[in-house]
Parts: sequence; C-alpha cells; structure tokens
Amino acid sequence: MADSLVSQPQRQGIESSGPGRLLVVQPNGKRLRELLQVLRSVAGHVEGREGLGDLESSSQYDLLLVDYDRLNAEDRARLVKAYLRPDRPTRLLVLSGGECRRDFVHLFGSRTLTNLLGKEDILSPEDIIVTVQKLLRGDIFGIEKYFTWGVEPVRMVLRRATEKERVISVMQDYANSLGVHPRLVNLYCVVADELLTNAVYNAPVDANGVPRYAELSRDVEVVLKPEEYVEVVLCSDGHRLGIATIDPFGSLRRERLLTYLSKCFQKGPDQVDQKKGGAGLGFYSVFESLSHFVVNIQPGTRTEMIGLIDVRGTYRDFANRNKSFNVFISE
Amino acid sequence: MPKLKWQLQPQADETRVVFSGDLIEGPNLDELVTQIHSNVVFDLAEVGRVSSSGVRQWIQMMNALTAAGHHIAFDRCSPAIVSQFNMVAQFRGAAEIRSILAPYYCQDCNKEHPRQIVPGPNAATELEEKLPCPSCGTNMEFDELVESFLGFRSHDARA
Repeated sequence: MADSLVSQPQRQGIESSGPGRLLVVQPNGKRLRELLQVLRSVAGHVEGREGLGDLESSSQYDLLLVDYDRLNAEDRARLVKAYLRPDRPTRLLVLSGGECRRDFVHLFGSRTLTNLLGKEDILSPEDIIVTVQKLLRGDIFGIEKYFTWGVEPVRMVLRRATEKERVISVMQDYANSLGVHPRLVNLYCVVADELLTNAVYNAPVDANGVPRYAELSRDVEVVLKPEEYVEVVLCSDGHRLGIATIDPFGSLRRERLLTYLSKCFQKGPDQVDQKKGGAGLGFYSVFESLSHFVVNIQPGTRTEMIGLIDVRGTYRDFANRNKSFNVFISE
Repeated sequence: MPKLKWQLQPQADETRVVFSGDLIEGPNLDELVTQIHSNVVFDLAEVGRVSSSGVRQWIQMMNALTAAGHHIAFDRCSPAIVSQFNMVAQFRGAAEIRSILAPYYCQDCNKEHPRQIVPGPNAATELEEKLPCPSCGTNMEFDELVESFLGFRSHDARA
C-alpha cells in the first residue's frame, strides 16, 4: 500500500487505572498528543496510530476513535465496509470538523455512524471524556453528565398531549430568563416540540411491542397513564442549554433512527412520510436544531433523548459549529 | 406564539395571505385551500416555530393549490421558513420566492432585526454589509452563514 501512514503505524501506549482499551487514529501529531492526553485520564490502555491500518486488529480494542476528516476516500470506504458487517471490529467513535456531513446519507444509511463528536480548532475534552466513559462503562443515562457540576436542573412531567404547549411555554420562559439568543430559544422550542411529540405518540407500545398511538394525527389528544408519564428535564450552565425527555418504554430501535436520518438527509421524494401518524421529519429537525443530539436506550425499559444547544455567542456562531450525535444502548 | 392563523387580502390580480403564529399540528390548511380562487402570495414574516407535523400539512396544501393551477409566491419569508426551504425539498414546491427576511442581531440589545432582501444574484454581497441597530446604533452583522442561508437558491440553479 502506497500510504506510508497506513503501512508504518507508530504506537504509543500508556497504562492507567481506568477501564477499557482505546485505539486512536489521528495522522496529525499535535492532535494525536492532545487526544492521548485527554484519553489517558479515562481509559486503562490508550494507543495512538497515524493511519487506519488493519481494521481487523482493532477488534482487540474496546473502542476505536477516528478523525474522519483526515482519512482519505479509500480509508473512509474501508471503514464503512467494515462497519456494514454484523461482526463489526469494535465500537467506533468518529471525530469530524464537517467532512462527515457530506457523507451523512451513506454513514447513517449503512448504520456506521452511531457516535460522532464535532471537532473545532481547539479540542474540547469534556465531551470526549463523557462520550468515551459512556461507551466504556455503560452508565449512559442522565443529562447532568453534559453540564458543569453544580447546576440545578428544572424537572417537569408531561401527562397528556395537550400539555405539550404548556411545557414548551415554560421552556421558552426558562431560556429567555437566561438571556439566550432569540433564535436559539426558538430552536429550543422546536426541539422540545419534536421530542415531546415523539415521547407521547411514538414511544408508547403495548405488551406485545405494538405502537399504541403512532398512527394518530398529532392533534388528537392522548392521555397517558401515570406509569407512562414523560419526564422532562431542563439544564443550563452558560455554555449549553439542554432538554431531556425520558419515556418509560425503551421502544425506539437504533436502526429506525438512523434510517430516518439517512432518508431525510438524502432529500429525495420520500423525505416526508405520507403514512398515518408522523411525517418522519422529527429526528432530522431535532438533529439540525441542536449542537449535540444524544439518544440513550435501555430496550424495553426507557428511552432518554437529550438535546444540547451551545448558546455562546451569536446564532452565526452556533451555525458555524460542527454537530455531535450519539446513540447509546444499555444492554 | 399561537397556532397558525391567516388573513386574506384580495388584490388586483392575486390574493395576499398574511400568516402569523406557529406552523404546527392543528391549523386546517385544507380550509385555506377552499378560500383561494386566484394566484396567491403568502406573506410569511410572522411565522415562528415550524414543526414536522406542520411541514407535512403545508406541503399537502401546496400540492393542492398547484394542482388547482394557482401560481404561488412567497414574500417576506421569516428565517424559520427559509430554514425549511433548505431542509425539506418539497416545502417551497414550485413557489416563486419574492423576498426573505435576513436576520441581523444586535449583541448589545440581544434583539434581532430582520432585513428584507430579494434572494437574487447580489444577495450574498448584500448580506456581508453591516447595519446599525435601530435601537442603540451598534453595528450589526448578518446572523447566519451566508452560503447555507441562501442554499435553497442552488435548487433553482439545478431546475
């Protein structure tokens, strides 16, 4: 192979007391050192490599972390091909400064992309640490993980569909009281609308796993039983504004989420569903309205959807930042 | 904001429909279709939040009006509407876009001030200009990414 970075991997290993074995693929030496510096604080064994190399060998690691933008087209194709297989090498976390976006249709459609962290010029260690810890330890729930310790979340409960606008109104007041940019407040409400609609209409299933309300028009009232109530949590710390919705069903399938994202990014004639019930645009609308979209699923038990908006600066600053996305499954 | 409402303003050779509120589930846009008997221009300055349910109803309305042979134009499109042009291929249908509201933001006042522009060949250059805030006079910048905000124009180029 002509690519010397791939044929001559350089390894740097260090042991610490945390769980897990990590392999980081990053051709830029400075960036690699920055990543290793962060990851050494969370994982037991961290190795760095400048090229993708032999993907089969990555199966000995618990997590493969790849800078997508630095891969050439051939390596990107190899990566996708490896992750199309049921026996994937290992868990994959992709870092991207925007190159990834061009391939969203393919990456979501092939189910390759379940963990993406948007990267900026300056490395932000917090999100890498939280994401890697969730992947290695399996402790996936809780919006508080994404906020500075010490913030006080606001908690609400949604009991019926017609309460949704009241909850959104509370959220709007909350965001406005923080002095958040008006358009970011609007996006916050858009996200709330979609997540709450999903929790009320799509999440509930009967004992056989059959959706109960998914085919209803979204202006039809749904009254939930107490054990079905949707928990809503709001959080902020001056850096981010967040919302989490937790439903007690855990009925969302990762494949469904990725399929809808792929279809929507394709913008084909089937972008908008014509079936009864939802339009199939909700997850896409949420993704595009956020800085970071996190979905935590404990199948058959609960689903938590977390939306995070970086509220620093102007709307233009928000639009310029790269997006992050994670789907975590608790076994 | 309340759910979507509209006011019909018949004019010489078209009907102007002025919308206000959130395009979410609930508004009976089928009813609006029965009220339109001519070419139509939608004034969208006061449309706020747009949900996925609202998008589908909107597309169904657009299809019905187009099937009935009406020419449709959009005027004073709010930033939320422009986002839909860029996100959902069918949202604007075959409509002519007469003007859009470009958001300018005053960091001192924490307020947005829209600037009406025609999305023509000079739009990108216009959006690089700074404007004084009408309240405090501080220079305001266009508060979006020019290329992505005007991205819907590339659909016109391909058509």
